[in-house]
Amino acid sequence: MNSKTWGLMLATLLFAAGAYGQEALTIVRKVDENQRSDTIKQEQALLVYPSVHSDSDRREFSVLSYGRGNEYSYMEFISPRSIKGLKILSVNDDRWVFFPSTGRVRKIAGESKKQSVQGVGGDFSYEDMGGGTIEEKYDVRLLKEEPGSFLIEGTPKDKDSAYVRVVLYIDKNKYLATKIEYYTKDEGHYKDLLLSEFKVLGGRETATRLEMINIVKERKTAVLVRAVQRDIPIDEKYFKPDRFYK
Amino acid sequence: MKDAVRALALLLLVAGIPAYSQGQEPAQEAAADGEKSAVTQEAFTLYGYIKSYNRVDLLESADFGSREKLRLKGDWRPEERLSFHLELSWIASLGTLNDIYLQSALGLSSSGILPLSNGLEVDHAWGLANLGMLDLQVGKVPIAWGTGYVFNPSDRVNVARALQTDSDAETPGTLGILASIYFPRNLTLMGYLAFQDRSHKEWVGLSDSRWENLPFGAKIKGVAGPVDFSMGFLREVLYDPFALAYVRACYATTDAVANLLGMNLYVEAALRLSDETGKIGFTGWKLDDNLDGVVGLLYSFADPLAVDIRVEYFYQGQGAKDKNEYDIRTVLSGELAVQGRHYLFLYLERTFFNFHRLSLGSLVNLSDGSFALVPEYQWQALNNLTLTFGSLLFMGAAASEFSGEVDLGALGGTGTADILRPAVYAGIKLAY
Repeated sequence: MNSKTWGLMLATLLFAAGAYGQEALTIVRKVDENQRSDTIKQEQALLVYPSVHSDSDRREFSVLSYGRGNEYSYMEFISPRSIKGLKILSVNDDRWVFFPSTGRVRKIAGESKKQSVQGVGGDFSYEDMGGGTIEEKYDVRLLKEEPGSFLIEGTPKDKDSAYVRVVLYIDKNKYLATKIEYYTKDEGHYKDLLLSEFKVLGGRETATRLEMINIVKERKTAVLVRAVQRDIPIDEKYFKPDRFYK
Repeated sequence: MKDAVRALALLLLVAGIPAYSQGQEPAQEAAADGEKSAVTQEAFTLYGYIKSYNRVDLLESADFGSREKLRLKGDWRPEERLSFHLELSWIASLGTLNDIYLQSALGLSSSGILPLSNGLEVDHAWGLANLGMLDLQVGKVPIAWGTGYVFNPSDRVNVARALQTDSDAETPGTLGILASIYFPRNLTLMGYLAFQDRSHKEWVGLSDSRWENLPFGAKIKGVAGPVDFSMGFLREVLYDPFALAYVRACYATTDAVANLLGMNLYVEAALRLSDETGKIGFTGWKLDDNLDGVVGLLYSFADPLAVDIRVEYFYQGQGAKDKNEYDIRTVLSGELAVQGRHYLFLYLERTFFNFHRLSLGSLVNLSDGSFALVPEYQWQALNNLTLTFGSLLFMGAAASEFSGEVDLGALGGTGTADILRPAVYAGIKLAY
């Protein structure tokens, strides 16, 4: 094989890779656009199970959340009563927690992003629940097409990410993610997020059940989306570190 | 007074019970399957907990102590920018957990008896108004200043408490007015004017009408990149039950917290600017006698270790330089949390299977080498049921702080008393 042939093959491969990257970007932009909203208010239930094999003995948390863009999110725990009033504000990578019993607000560690949200997030970590579009968070490329789905590989742009790669399953017709596989450096295939029970909420088709399965620890946590309002006015105070708890 | 409290509680109950059926309408777009929203905020909310804490000494006498605690909390938000909060507290304690035990050991009790309970008390009762860029909070309000985890040198409105195993204990309410003014770029000016001194004593004297006996504080808070910071000035007023007089001091305060290198780092300091008279003055003033400061960090190890570790160093300039100078009265009055100058707090915590938590806390007096150890296991057995088992262990050479032996000479007595006894405890907390 001469050098011209090698060059042609290399150019073809590079073009193919670029085209796959470009196609993946087009797909995730459609997915991001489907989920985009300036503000969002959600009512959710968080179900934490002791084991992936058990549907009993679960703990249930009810959460009211507000979001603005991809930078700001506010969560307030409504139940159980034992932690009622616990509030968490996230602004980009910074987080503040208000503890109602002590009346104190603490800025909490940017810590391991794999950690569960303040001990009540079950298998959802801060990174999983953080803001940002797919395009903002990952470099993407199309892995393959299946009959109903695009499989897209994402490599975290944040070098501090807990994951080395994710694989997104995108519904070809709806341009909505139906599954995300999370891979870590040490554990390999670590978690699966299954998105299901799509309903029209807040004017958009929305997954109302998000189930995170920790393959390594054999645990699972589900988020049930009860209600959604999008693009509504939200008081600025919810996004201020010195005021969100008042 | 107790009748008024009962009336208030009754009013809250009457107001609260129908509120569950009068909660605000669910968000406009409920789940498509028609399921009623479970997390819609209620106009009125009543909640709280009942907690039983029981302790057995490990020494030969195996004395027993028990504390039953009821907390009834109520929230009411009649409109978006106006909210109210009420917390009633009832505590009954007996045995080693009743004050009579400590008072008798120290020779401070003449009758040898104290009430089982002080009755139902209003601990928090405040209203909050959001007025544009101003928040105004009035009533009996918890004021919790400072970034420190165990020690808060800039908290000068609550009695100092360090050896507290109840990690979620409420900050006591203080009668006062709090104001916060919010400026652009996350800059906030906040302040308080308190109508009771730091001891929160339950009686009023004529001297309480003097302006100089009103504590106040103001600070400017901001966020700069990864750092939250504040700088302030405050006046502390404390009624000293041993001197039967008010002690006053002014402080410059500062604190900061940042997330750097994957760690949560914090610092907090208070610099006393007063001389013996309590007014701003520097006669005989030395920096090392007037500075209180905390430096700490929290680091979370990732899986599989998954351990949180907290380290906090506390320098207390007002503490004794030598163990021969320890004065238990400074702790009993609530002026100081501990008696010495240099302390290190270490804490490890690991959560298992989401609902089980093991922790080990230790407070070390670096000057005399004594320390307290608190290993604890906590199980969240149900959504609203938490069980706790732990022990209190104290170690130290004779006459060291955590050996527990107190020289009664400072209290007008003779000999020593052992007030810190190793014990095991069990707690059960039910939230409703």
